[in-house]
Amino acid sequence: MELVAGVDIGNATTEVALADVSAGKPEFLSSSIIPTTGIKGTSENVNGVFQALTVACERAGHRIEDLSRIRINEAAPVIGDVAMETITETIITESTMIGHNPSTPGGLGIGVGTTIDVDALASERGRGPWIVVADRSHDHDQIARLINEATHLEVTGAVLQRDDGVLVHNRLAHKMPIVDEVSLIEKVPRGMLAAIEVASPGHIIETLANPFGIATLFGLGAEDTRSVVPIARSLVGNRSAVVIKTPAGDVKERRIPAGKLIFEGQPQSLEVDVDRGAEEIMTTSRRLTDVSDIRGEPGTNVGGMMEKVRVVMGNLTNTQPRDIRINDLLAVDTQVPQVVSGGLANEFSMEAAVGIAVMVKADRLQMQSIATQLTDRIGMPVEVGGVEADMAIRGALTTPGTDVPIAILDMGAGSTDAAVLRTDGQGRSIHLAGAGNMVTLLIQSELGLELFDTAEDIKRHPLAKVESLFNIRHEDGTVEFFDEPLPPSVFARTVVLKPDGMVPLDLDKPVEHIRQVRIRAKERVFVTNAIRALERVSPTNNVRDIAFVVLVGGSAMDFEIPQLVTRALADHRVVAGRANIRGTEGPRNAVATGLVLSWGQ
Amino acid sequence: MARPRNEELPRPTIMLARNERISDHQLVPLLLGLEEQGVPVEQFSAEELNPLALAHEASLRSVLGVGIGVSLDYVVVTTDKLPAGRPYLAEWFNRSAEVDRTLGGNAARIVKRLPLAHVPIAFRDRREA
Repeated sequence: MELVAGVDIGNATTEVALADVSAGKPEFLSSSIIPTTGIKGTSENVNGVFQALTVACERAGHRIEDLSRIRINEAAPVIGDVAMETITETIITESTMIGHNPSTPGGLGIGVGTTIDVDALASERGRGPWIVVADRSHDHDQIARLINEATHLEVTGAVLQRDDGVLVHNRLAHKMPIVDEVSLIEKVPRGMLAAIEVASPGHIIETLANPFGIATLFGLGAEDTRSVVPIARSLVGNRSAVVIKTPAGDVKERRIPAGKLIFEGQPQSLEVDVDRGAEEIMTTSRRLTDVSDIRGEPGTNVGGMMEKVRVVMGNLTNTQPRDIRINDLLAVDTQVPQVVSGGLANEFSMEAAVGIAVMVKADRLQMQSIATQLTDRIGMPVEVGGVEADMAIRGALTTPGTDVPIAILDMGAGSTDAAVLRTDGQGRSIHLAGAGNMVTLLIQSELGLELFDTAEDIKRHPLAKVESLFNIRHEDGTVEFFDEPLPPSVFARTVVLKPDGMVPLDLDKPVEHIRQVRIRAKERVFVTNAIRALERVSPTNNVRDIAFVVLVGGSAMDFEIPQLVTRALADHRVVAGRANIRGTEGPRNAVATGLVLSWGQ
Repeated sequence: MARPRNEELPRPTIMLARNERISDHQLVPLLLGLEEQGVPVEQFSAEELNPLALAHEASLRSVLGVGIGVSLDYVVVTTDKLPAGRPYLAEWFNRSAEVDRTLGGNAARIVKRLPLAHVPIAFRDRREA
C-alpha cells in the first residue's frame, strides 16, 4: 500500500484528500476539513495541516506514519479588502422639520400654530393658535394638566421628548395631534409657525408630504412653495411629522466630492470620479487590458480609503504600503442609511454610496517553508504541488457530467478566482476583487447594521419571522411549529436560522425586504464577478465559449449563491452548477483531490 | 366589516390579577405602559399570593389570552398557552418605574405581535447583582 495525501491550505479551511496509489491509479479513501490555523501561507498553518491529516488517516483506518507522501498546494498569493464611501448627504438647516415614526404617536389629524414652551402657556396672553413643546422634565400628567388649564388659549398640537404621546392625548380635554420621541427637542425653535400631522394607524401623512399642502397651511407663495419641495419629499412615507417655518430653513441633498480613482495600466492610465457611480468606474476599468495599480486621488475620501487598504494589505504581507499594487477593483452602487445632519429625532435618510472591493497580489507565500516544517514534524517527504488553479481544475473534473473545455469559479471570502482548461490542455487563470466579504459589507451597510458578524449571519442563513410563542414562518412562507415556547427575545422578530439556533435581528424591517437586500448583494458581487471572470479566461473573451462552469470554494457552499450564478449563466447558455468533487465531496476538496491526481506526473 | 358589538361578549382586554395587598398607586407605571400601547386592560384582585398562579388565572380569563400577575415583589406576564409554572416574562415589581412600564408595554406588545422592548439594562444589572 502506498498512501498519498493532498493538502489544500485555504483562507478559511484546510482540506485533505487521502488516496492509495499502489495500483498505479489513485483510489480515494477519505477526506477531512479543518479550520485553517493562522493566516494562510504562514507557519502557523502547520498545526491545522497536522490535525487535518490525522483526521483523514483515522477515517481510513490508518495512522499518519503510514503515509508515504504529502503534497501541499502552491497557494495563490491573493488577498482582498473592502471599503465603503457615501457620496451624498442630507442636511437640515435651522431645524425646519421633524419626520420620524414614533411607534405610538398621539391623536390624529393636522394642527397649525406657533411653537411655545409648555411652561409658558399659563402666562401667555396671545390667543394662538399654539403648538406646545415639552421636554423630558415634564411627565404626561403635568403636560396634560398645563394644556387643559390653558383654557384661554387655542392649542392645536404638541411635540414631546418622551414616549408618552398616547398618555398625554388620553388626558386632554380637547384632542389634538401629538408627535413624541423627539430626542433633540431643545433644538426646536420657539415662537415659529409650525404644522404637525399624525396619520391614523396604517396610513401615512398626506398634507405635510405634499408641497401644496405645506403651502396651504403656511400660506406660501409660488417661490416659497418651490423651496419646501425637499422637505415634503423627505417626509413621504412617515406616519407623523412636524414642519417648522424658519427664515432660512431648508433640506438639502449634497453630493460629497469623493475624489478620483486612477487606473494605471495598458494601453494608458485612466481616471474616473467616484461620485459618477459604480457603473462608470467598472466601464473605465474594462477599458484597460492590464491594470498594474489602482490609486485614489490624494487628499480626497477615496484617496484615504485606498490608502487604508494599502496599510491593511501591507501589514498582512509584511510589505511597505507604498509597494502594494492593487490589481483589480469591483465597485458596486449601494444605499446606506445615514443619520440626517441637523435632524431632531434621529431621522435617517438613504444616501447613495459606492462599495469597493480590491485585490492585491502579494509576494509568493511561504509554502516551501511550511513544507519543510511539516517534513521535520512528521518525518516524511512533503512537496509543494502545482499551481492552485490547475489543481482545482483537475479536482473539479472529477465532478460527474463534466468535460473540457471547463472553467472553475472559486468564490471565496476575499477574491473570486477563475481558471479555464481548454480541449488542447492549455489553461489560464485570473483573480478578481470582490467575493463573500463584499457581500457581507453590502448587507451590513444597506441594512444599517452595527456589526459585521450580524451581516455575516444574514448572508449565510435563511430568515424567518416568529409569529407566535410556538411557530415561525420561514422566508418562503412555510410554517414550522415548536413543542417548547420560543424565548421572549425572539418574539415577533425577524430571526436568522443558524444551525445552532435562531438569532433575533434588531431590525424594524419586513423579512422580504431583508431577503431582497441579501439576494441583491449576492447577485451584484457573485453574478457580476462570475461573468467578469469567465469573460477574461474564455479563449474568445466570450462567456458562451465555455461549455461547463463548475463552482467550488466556500461561497459555493452557500444556500443560494450557486443557484443565482447557475440562473445568470444559463442566460449565456453555459452549463453551470455547484461542483461535486469525486461525486461525493460537493464543492469542497477540489484542490486536495487535484494534488493527489497529479501525483507522479 | 366588524359586526355590531354583542353585549354578551366579554371585551377584548388583557387581564391583570393583583394580590389584594397591592395598592392602586403601586400599579400606576405598569398601567401606563399598557395605556401608551393602546391595549385595554381589566383587573381583579385575589387572596392568592403566588404571582405565577395569578398571571396564569388572569391569562385564562383574558379574551386576548394574555394575563399579568402582580404579587409581593414580582410582576409576571404569561399567556393562556403556557402552563402556570412556565411564565413568559417575569421581573421584580416596583423596583423601578421604568421596568414596570416596560413590562406593561411588553404585555401589550404580545397582543399586538410586536417585538418586545428591552427591559432597561441598568435596572436589570441591579436585579441580578
